Amino acid sequence: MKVFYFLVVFAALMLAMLWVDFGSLGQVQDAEQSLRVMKGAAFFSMNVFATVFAIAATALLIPKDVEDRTLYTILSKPVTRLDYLLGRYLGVILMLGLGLLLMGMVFSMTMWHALEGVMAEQVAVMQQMGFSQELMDARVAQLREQGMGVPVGVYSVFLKAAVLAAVALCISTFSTSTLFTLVATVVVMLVGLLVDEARSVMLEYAAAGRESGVLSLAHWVAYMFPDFKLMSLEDATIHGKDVPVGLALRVTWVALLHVALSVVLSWFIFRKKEV
Amino acid sequence: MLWRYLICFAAVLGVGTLRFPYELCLSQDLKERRLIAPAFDAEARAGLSQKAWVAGFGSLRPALASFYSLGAIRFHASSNWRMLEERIEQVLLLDPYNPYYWNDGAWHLAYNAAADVLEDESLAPLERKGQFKDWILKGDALYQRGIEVNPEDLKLRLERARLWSSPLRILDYPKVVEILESCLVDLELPDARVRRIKLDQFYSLLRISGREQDAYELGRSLFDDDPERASSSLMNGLCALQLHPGVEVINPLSLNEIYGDQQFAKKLLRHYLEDLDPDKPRYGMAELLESL
Repeated sequence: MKVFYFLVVFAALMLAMLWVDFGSLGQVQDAEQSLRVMKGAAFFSMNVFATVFAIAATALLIPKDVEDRTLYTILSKPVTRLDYLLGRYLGVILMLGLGLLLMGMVFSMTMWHALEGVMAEQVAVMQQMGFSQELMDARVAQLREQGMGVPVGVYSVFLKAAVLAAVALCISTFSTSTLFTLVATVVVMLVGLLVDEARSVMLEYAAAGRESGVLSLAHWVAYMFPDFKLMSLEDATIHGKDVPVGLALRVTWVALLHVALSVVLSWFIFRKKEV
Repeated sequence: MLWRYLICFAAVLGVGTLRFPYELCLSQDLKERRLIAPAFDAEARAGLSQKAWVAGFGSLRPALASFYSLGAIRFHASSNWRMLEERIEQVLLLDPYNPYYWNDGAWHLAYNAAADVLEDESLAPLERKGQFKDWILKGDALYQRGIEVNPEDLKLRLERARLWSSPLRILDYPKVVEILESCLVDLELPDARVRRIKLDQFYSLLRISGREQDAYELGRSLFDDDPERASSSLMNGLCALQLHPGVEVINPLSLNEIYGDQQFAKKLLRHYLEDLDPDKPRYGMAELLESL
């Protein structure tokens, strides 16, 4: 339950964001920017929570079960090793999902409050300046766009964390220390954020007909690591852009592929491992 | 045991090769719709500081951009415009789909930096003017790049138009008309917004020597469209253009048709003549006011 202490920190951060008007730090007050900064901070916190939880919780699973001898008790029963891995993994995913769901709800309420305040303020100013109803309606619709897409953003944070947890599970099946699992998963995550850049380098070099060590490295990165930027649909939410369902499903498919591959490999290594 | 790891390695590589074209296509689709940030090109990779480069991937980009943007205030306060310009570029690389940063950056360069060098007594007068113009052009270039990246954003276009219609910068009314026209052509806008932009176009055309006829035709159509909603500037502009010798008026409006009554006409005409804007057409306006 200590996991959910993070939610208190998150809720406090959201409340603090309501008091700071980031949009007025530049030239003139910009309501959209204020909301964008709020969303950026919220998704940043969710990413931190999801990443830390996914990696730490999964990396500790098998070593802790071995240490507590729980693993022997479980495996002595008619439970296959795949069932054990899947059960543990789904447990982490469930907790992660629950945590993100609660954070998403806190965030949605904060956004709704901020949005209502901004809209009331803007409409009052526009009324004072004699703007037509049509322009005021258009402005309200424009502001409402900033409040849309929060579930998609939270979902994409969840997808990234699910992939990371699966990778951590896979590494933990052959790793001899928890520290190694933690560090290796963090490395996979960091390199995973570079996959898009690697692909970009590959295309640039291919277009120029160049060959070099950088190109070989880019190939390895692009083929071996999951692309976490591809799953960062929360960027679109931050900018108030609508993500088509078709694209969200395609991103889900990519994430599921990585999860499936990692789980299958985990089972492949773990099935005959001496514990 | 080793063969098992080799099989795993081969599986990851095999799946990676198979998923590569699919992910490449998906990534391009997401970028085309501007749902994820574009990859840094070679020039950008070289330009970004190490810290920004490492931290600026994935979803950290918008959060890092807002953090970097706050840092720009320091350079503004110390009037360190070169550093500010560099910082703006970094912020824009991190979060190019946020129009706020383009607008804020252009405002810093075209307004703050330009005003600062103009008042810098350590520079020779010609140097001041030269740098003043350079900073304005840099600001304008930022607006143009921002519009290219965020073509659906109306505010950036209107701010660019505002820059070139500011009497405290470099007045360029033909450019303003062109920018406003691009808003009408490229964007789908509500009727009230279209009317507002056309009114701004009219005010700009009014001030361009040789475009009086275009100004009159646009002003007349706006007036005929809804005489009740005609602003005082539109009424005065129409009246001035009707008196202009270069304007061919087929069906002129009477003073009462434009202003409603003579008292109101006198009041608005006086305001028009008291305004010191040298670009407004004034042909025959003083005489008209005297005759009332």
